Amino acid sequence: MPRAHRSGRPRRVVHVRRRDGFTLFETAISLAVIGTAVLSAMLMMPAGLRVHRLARFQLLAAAKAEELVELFLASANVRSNIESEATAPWEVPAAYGSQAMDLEARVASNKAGVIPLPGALSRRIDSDGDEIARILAEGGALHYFHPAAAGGFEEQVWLAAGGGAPTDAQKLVFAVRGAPQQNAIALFPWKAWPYYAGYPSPPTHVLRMHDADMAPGAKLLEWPHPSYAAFCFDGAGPASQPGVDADLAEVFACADAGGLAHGFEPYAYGSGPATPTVDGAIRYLQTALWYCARKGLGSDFHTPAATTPPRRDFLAQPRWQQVHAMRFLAHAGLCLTRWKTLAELGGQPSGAIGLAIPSVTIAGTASPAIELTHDLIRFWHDSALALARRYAAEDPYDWGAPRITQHALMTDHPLLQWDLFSPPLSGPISGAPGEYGAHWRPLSASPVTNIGVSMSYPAAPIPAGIWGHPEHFTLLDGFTLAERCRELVFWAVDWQAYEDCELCPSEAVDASRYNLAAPLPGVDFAGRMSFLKWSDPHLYAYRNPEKNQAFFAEVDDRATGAPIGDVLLGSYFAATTSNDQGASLAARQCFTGRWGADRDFDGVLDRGPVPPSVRLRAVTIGRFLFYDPRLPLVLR
Amino acid sequence: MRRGFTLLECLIAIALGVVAITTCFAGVRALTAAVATAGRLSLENALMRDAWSQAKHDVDFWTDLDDPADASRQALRASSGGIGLPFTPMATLGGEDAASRAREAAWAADDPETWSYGNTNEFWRGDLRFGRYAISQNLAADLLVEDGATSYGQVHVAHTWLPRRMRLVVAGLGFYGAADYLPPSTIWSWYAPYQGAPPAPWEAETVDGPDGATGPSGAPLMFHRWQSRLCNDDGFQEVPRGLWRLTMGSVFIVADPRRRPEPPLAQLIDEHRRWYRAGYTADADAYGDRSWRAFRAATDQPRDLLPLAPAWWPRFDTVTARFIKNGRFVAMSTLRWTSPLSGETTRLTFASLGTTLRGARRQRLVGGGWADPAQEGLDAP
Repeated sequence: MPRAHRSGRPRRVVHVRRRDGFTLFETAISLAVIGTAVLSAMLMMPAGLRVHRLARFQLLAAAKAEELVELFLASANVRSNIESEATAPWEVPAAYGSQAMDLEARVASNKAGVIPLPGALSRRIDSDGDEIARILAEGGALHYFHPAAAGGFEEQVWLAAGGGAPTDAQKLVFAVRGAPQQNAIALFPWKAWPYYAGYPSPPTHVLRMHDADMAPGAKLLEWPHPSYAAFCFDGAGPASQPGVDADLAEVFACADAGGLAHGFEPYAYGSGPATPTVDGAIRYLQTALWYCARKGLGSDFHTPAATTPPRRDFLAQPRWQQVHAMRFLAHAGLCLTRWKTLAELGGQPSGAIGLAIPSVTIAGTASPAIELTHDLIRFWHDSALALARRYAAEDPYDWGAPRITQHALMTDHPLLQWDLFSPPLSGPISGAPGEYGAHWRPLSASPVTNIGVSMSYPAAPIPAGIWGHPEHFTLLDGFTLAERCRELVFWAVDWQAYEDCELCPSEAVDASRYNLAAPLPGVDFAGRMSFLKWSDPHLYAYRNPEKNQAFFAEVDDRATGAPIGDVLLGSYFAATTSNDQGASLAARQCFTGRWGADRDFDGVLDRGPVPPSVRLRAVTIGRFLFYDPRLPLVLR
Repeated sequence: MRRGFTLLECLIAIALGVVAITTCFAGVRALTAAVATAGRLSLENALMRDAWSQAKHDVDFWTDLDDPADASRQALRASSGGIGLPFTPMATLGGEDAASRAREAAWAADDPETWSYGNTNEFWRGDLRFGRYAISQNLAADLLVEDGATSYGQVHVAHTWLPRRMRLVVAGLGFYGAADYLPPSTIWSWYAPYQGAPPAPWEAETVDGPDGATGPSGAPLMFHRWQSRLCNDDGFQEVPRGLWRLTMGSVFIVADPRRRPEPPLAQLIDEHRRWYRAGYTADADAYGDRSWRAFRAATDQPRDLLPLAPAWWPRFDTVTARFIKNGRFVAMSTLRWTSPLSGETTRLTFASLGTTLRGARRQRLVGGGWADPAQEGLDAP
């Protein structure tokens, strides 16, 4: 029984029914649990989205990786409108690393739409294992893709045709990992061999290079124009130089004891208006026969029995001179088919009587007298091709006679490389007093014989002492696949989010991407920098890869979104397209991309929201191995 | 006495409830949006993968231009009077005898019949001062060698195989096809019996250019004249060219027959025998039917990847254009997709390594269907 209250009244029993609801603490816990669950679900969604975006970028990277390798291996090796020959290898950039058969060197151009990302941006980007930082530290670079150029087409063409749609590929960057192979020399700076000539043909005559010094006795022409003259290359050069044969120049033009002009030039061009005559053609043929006599090549070489099949074998005399001899005979003989009929040339098959070619004495040597027939001309023509082909195939390191235009072969290019383990060559830089250049020495798989002189510098013998140590030659060495293997690594990063994404200067441009004129008499280095006409359609491997969308003036003071078409260097039709040429500060700033570039090619100045002080993290997208050849190849 | 919530408790409860509901609502919204975005991305990625696979398939098998399993999609096998298209069977073009085919297969460097005996400096308006090279190599084995003014005489020519072989592929397959079949170092010219004709402007040249008017030497004008059907307008070169020079800043193409309205045979023949401007010197519209835009119209025929896809799916189309530029054989694929929400079109363009035209022809049987590797396919005699 309940006890009474102190007041005497019985204690009232109050049954308080406690309702067991959630306490505030429990509610809070519950909400926290719910919140965590919801947030977790929310957090998983971005992760899922990232996976999808990653998948997108992996697809883009796969497509772009294949395109890079295709561009690298399937593009033609042609590099026109450059100067490749000089008296020393440091005088022209043709044989420098920027022109090498390496993927990043070949595809980093406006044409391919592959452009190095400015170092100021790429150094702010982190990646797994600091891979990007290590690549940059080793001298590599990140590259981005031009939004419009693709597939080897120039960007402004795409744009004009409505091809400049936005693309996610600009958020992809890539780098090439792994050291490149030491490549073969594609252009031998002393002499850009192979030289080609159509067979048959007369002695090679070429345009004279910028009044470069001529060898004593070189045959100069007033043709095609006195200010744009040519000279006979064959035979030019110091007589002491192996491969220089002064008699070749006589076949081009000479005079007999009576002062009568003989040779190809008087026949084909003459002085003044060209007026070829049959007599001129006969005298040209006499000169070709005279050359045979000078080289000790007798009738068994030039006028064998009528039924003799075309000559495929060489006599004991130097092969390159036999190639020249048959080349001239065939050319001069064919010239006479312009003037004489088949009947006059002995019919077909030819009889013993044809066109009598009398002997002539030139420089104390008498040419043989022969009966010229149709069949003999045909014999010479077939033999010229056969001997030239055999010579080109069997003697790739004999440079005494040119290779065959109609039959260009990879073996026309001898295997040459630089010797990285011998003391380099050095010497003064032309036009820059007190400045010296240095370069590795060349190596050849076999000794080059009859090297002659170059067309650009026929007065300058190629020194015999330039060559490196033969034991350092490696192009023919065995190799493991891993040695030829390099890797394309792709990352995704929104580098265009940076405030200064279009204001950063271009990635450093190697000086050897400057298309420099070779040494010129009386022209200083600054003059050499501006001497050549820079032609956009030909200079893919030169200049700043970012050139066409680079600014030629400062644009920092412009508002975000302001048009910047008026300050683009542009390409081809743009009046400012060559603002990057020359020695002036302004030109050098343009060449190096000092003022930034319209990197998304949208015609307005873009600034992203991210300040330069913030580092972005790149996500690794994919890796692709590719073969790194040592020779300049074109794959089909 | 029943004690209710205090105002404070009530407020806290309400606040917590609001927080809980808001959180859940936001979560659900975000979840819904994320699911939708993920779904869209997933769909886009799947379609992009399909489009990419389709493009790669086209590059490898050329089924976008010629479907061996569907006779209605073999427009590029047609021909007219010996002038064919890239997939015209060799037998239709007159074919070759076994010896010629064996020679072509070997193309031996020491075989004199495969050599070019032409004058590499043959100038179409020249006065023959360097002679008559037509006597050494010619389409005709026996011909009267003349130049319209003088006659050399009736000659039997020793070498005929190379010009005949070149004519077969140039006339038979068009410029792209010929470039695919001929060695990369080919000098594009030959000699034929002289056909005097007043030189017509290039616009008036007919598609039978290789068989048309010749210069005094007997070399078809098409091979020598600046701005001919074959020779582009770069550099005023009027002597024979190699492939790089022929395609410096311009292209030879394989034209896409799937256009609407369907191009007639004459148009297809024409498009395979002309160059189009496509370089830094190009203006998108200049040069009329040789312009970049004309080139793209003939090669850039997007194919809807999924024509029956729901309207809310992104629209994907693919196209692979094939052409030769600067000596490079390009198979350039473009994937385009348009967002059903924003209407924005995004593009992915890439070039790939794939089967050559010759390889594609050998994949196909003349009567339809696929050839096995041992068969000669469309090259069968």
